[in-house]
Amino acid sequence: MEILDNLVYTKDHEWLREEDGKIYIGITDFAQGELGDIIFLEAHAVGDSVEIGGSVATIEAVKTVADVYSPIAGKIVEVNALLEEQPELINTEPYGDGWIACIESSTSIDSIEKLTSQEYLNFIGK
Amino acid sequence: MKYIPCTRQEEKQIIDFLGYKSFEDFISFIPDDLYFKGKYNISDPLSEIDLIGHMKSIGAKNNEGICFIGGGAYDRYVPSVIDFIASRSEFYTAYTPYQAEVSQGTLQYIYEYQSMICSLSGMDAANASLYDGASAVAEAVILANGHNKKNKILISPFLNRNYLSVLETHVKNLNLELIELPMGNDGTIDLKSIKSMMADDISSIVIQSPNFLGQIEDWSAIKDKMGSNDALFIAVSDPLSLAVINPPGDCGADIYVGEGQSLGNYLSFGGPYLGVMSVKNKLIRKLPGRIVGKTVDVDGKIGYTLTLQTREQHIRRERATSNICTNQGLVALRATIYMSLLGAKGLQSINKLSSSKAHYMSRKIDEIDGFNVKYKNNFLNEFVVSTVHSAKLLTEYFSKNNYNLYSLSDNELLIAVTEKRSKEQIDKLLDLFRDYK
Repeated sequence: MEILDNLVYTKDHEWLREEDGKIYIGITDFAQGELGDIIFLEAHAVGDSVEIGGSVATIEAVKTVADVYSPIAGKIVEVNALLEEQPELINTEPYGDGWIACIESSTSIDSIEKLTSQEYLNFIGK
Repeated sequence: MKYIPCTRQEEKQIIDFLGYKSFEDFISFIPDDLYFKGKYNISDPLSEIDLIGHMKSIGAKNNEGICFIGGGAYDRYVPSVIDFIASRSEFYTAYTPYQAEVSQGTLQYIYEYQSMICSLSGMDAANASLYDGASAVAEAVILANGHNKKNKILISPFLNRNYLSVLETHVKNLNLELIELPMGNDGTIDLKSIKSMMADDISSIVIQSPNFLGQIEDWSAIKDKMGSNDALFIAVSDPLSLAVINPPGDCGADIYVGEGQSLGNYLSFGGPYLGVMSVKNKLIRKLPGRIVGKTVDVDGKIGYTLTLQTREQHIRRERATSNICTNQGLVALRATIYMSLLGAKGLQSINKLSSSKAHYMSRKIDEIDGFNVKYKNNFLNEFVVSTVHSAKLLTEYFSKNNYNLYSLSDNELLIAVTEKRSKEQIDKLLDLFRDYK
């Protein structure tokens, strides 16, 4: 299991990365391992607004379903189109091509409730 | 699959293990005022001979009559082989099979059922069935709302009245608004009105054909008038009629639902019936209920299994768009046997037989003074007769003469003719029409 130092994390097992003022969101390697084989992703539409704690996508694994929550309020400006055909990318490359959505927000990533990689590792007890 | 209840001894072991004194003690958390304290209105035990005599005397009060009533449930011929196969113990359960390893036969017939429903309706995927036609309509409307998040639904004024009433109950607390489309003057909807009624907040449009008055709607033309927007087109129909009318899937419908009682099931005083539902591929993850899929096992052999269960309430919980985690297994089994035995040609013949008998009867009624077939040509086996007489008194008169007919309004009858009605029965009924004063 891999937890990258250059990302920040949430207690809902999402990772966040800021790029060009936008926030990319995905789920952690730990989370994808717990969910098992992911077979489908249903994301909100581009242009939808999302509140803190609101769902940006629903992940379907073989035996369970989980929501991906946004820790920040804003507008969904991009969803990962690759996942339509290859949802398993969330399993194989959770921090790379398995990213889920991109949110544009007036709030900075610094101001939200988040965990460092070490805090996240402690949180999941590893 | 067998249902094995626990014995008194096993029940005692369970209760002891849980640390209760008795079953009554175990359920003592139920408030006292909720218990029924009266005496049930049931007689003392009867011997088998007495019981059979008693039940026969009750049964003898039924006046079966010759049935010309339709309106969504039809007195069609049920070949006896259906009772034979469906009552085999391997098949005889109403339950949906969870355990693929012990239910391959059941899963396979459900898979065949789904395939035949897809083939009849021109759709990509069918579920393993729902409770009945009415709840299937409600599920379709809720599916559409889950898909496009819009909340207005255009409803045909000729949707079966029972379906409408069940639909109203289902959507009552869902913030959905049902809007009735205007009637045309030929017993079908007013096609011209559709374009002006379409708007951005329309979630779906629900059109039954043949409709409640027996008239065939033009699904393709309706689809054209809808134009391009997010609204889903829900087509409602008796699956049997799809053997001879254009499949809704080919006419641009997104969802097909219907009442499958016609397929090898008795009238049975109104149920259990069969909710039939199929959709286009884009909606498969929103399709409610069970779905059986075909796959291969580790040795590459074909196997059947429940699939896409993540849509369902037992996994998706409060995010599920439907509460249904079951199907109408036994009734669907009978439909499967019926469709496989008759085949495409057989299903067409049944329609042709019923239709030619219905058209014969309608022509003859139209010639009788005081009676008039309201919409003359555009129907399969069900039609409206307007009359100068009281429809209620008429049905009472027919009933006394062993014929059952349905009064649609004060001066209208709705008549259904199935393949089961003989020319003699029809001619005798026509005489009754002629003799009515």
